Amino acid sequence: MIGKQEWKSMRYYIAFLALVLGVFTYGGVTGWRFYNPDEVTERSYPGGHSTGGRMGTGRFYHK
Amino acid sequence: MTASVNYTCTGCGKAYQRKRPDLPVFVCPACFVIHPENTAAPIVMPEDMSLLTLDSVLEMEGSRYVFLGRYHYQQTNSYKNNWVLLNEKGELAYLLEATGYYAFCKPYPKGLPSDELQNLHPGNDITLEEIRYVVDAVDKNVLTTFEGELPETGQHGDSFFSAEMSTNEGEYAFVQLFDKKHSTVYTGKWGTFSEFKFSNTKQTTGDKDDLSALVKCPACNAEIRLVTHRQAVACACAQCRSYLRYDESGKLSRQAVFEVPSTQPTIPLHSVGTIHGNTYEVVGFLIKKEKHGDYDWREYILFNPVLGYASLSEYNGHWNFIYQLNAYPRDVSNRSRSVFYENNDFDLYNKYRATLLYAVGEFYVDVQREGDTLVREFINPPFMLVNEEAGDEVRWFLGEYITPSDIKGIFKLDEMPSRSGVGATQLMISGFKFRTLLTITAVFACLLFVTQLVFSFSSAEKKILSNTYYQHDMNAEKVIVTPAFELTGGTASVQFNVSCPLNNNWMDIDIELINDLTGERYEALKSLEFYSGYDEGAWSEGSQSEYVIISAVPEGKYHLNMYPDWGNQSNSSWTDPNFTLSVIHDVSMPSNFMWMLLLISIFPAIQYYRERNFESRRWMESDYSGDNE
Repeated sequence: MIGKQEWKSMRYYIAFLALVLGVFTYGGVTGWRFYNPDEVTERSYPGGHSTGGRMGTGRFYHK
Repeated sequence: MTASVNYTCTGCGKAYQRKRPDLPVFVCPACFVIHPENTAAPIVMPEDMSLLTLDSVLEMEGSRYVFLGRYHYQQTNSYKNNWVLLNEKGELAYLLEATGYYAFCKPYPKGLPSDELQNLHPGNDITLEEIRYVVDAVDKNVLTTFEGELPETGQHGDSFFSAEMSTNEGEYAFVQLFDKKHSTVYTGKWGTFSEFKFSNTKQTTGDKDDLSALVKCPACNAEIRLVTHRQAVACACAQCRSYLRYDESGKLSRQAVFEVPSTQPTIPLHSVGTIHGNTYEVVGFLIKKEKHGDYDWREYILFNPVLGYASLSEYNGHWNFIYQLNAYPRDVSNRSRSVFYENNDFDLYNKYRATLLYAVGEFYVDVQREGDTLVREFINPPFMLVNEEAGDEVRWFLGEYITPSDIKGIFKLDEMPSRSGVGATQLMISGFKFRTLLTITAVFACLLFVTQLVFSFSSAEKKILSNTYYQHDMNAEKVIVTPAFELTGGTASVQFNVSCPLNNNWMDIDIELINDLTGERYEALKSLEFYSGYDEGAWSEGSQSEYVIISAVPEGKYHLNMYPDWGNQSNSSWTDPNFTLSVIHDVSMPSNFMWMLLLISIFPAIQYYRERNFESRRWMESDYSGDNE
């Protein structure tokens, strides 16, 4: 048996779970990895700078 | 069927139309003379709160039953009306009415086998026509009065024993016991007022002052207002604190005088409030304590003309709304520590016999006598099952927690007793229950898992590039640049698998994925290390291969800039350090699933901890907590 008060509170939790499912689906469709420690999150654009590496080597585009 | 005939009362001369003139008893409604024998002294049927009258009609089993008359009985603890009904075929049936409970029945010609009569004890099983009944009550019935046309004559004070039996599916049986071997059985259906199709009933609303009766306290002559009239078995005077009970002659006599109460009722007598959509009037107030305990609690007796009685109990500022069940757990022994009811387990919380400390108002049972009753309380918050067992009766009640603020609003109160501790049926403030939370979370976890499976099967996992690169491939800027490649199929992740034949060494690599058209760069860093040796056995740590993912990369033409760095190169076997790189486009990411699983587990986990803490505080008040087992 579930009381009225419990159902009332549970609606918000179900909404939260639905949001989680939505975010998860979005991540799966776009290939977004939620926690990606190896990726440098600050992306650089033409004319900008990359974050630099640990080796102190220069960052130049050589094709 | 017998046709109705006109009849003139020999006592008062008034004319009536009798519906069944062949029935031996007829009570004149004007002068109360009993016809035709006129042997019994006329007795006035007391005004009561029954909604049924001699003009009422009941639709049942495709027949229309009119009300011929009724017997009014006093039982040990309450009153009962036994209405005599007649259908259009001239068949008689009976309707038993007791405080919101109704049972329609007809004679059961086979009767009860005499060897079954000794089994008629509350809680026992009796099988009739393959229906398994449970005996609810065995009681003495004393005829107080009767009215209308009746099949049997009687005298005030006539008595017999009866047993009432029922099933949770609505079957009902009534056994009238004459001696140890002879009985008459009636079988039928039980239900509530709304479950039977009654018509021509009394109004259920209106001016309540017109319905109530005033009686005088025999001790102090103060007036006591009785809302339920003769449905009240007992009442208590607010002025002199006398507890009064109706005797068999219908007179109130003093049974006890209470001490001055420790508290006054929070909800005044005759307050009216609506609980769960039904309007109740407070007709009684009790203060009780455990016989062998030193704490007390308060009960408010509520009355609704259709539903009968209910109660509110208050202890330490925690409130429960409680009403009697007709369908109840039937396979419960005295030693049961839990009860299964309506697909839920209820755990034993308390077992006691109560002592009455104070009472005021009117009562449908002899509340002073309830000290003989063993009470067991089973809880599944916010609900409570209460089992009361006296020698002659088994009763079950269902309670539900009501917040003090709700009570305050319902009865428009100014002050409420302060709440302390955790109530037996109190829910946590959040209103969540861990078990419900876990069930809903598990359903969503399954949904996540299915979604993850879909992603796993639908991801392309296309190998874009795979090659081994050497230190000598690096240009002057120590960069390895790959040829351009195409990423197609929309935005997706790109995984880089890096492996290196390390031996007690390390390697760092910085990978840049660069869009040839826009110049946008995506960058990832990875370190590899692998060490091994022999120290009381072979050991190794680290790995010669790792992977790194760049997520959400739009489709387009890309190339890689890689900046590798190797550790100690003095080892002669490490002449030309190298690594192998493969690039996989559109990979599934189980880590997302794990993170989401972790995220949705946080709230249930917190709730579990809080609930454990809350439960341990709840069960501190009980003698039956797990710690005491």
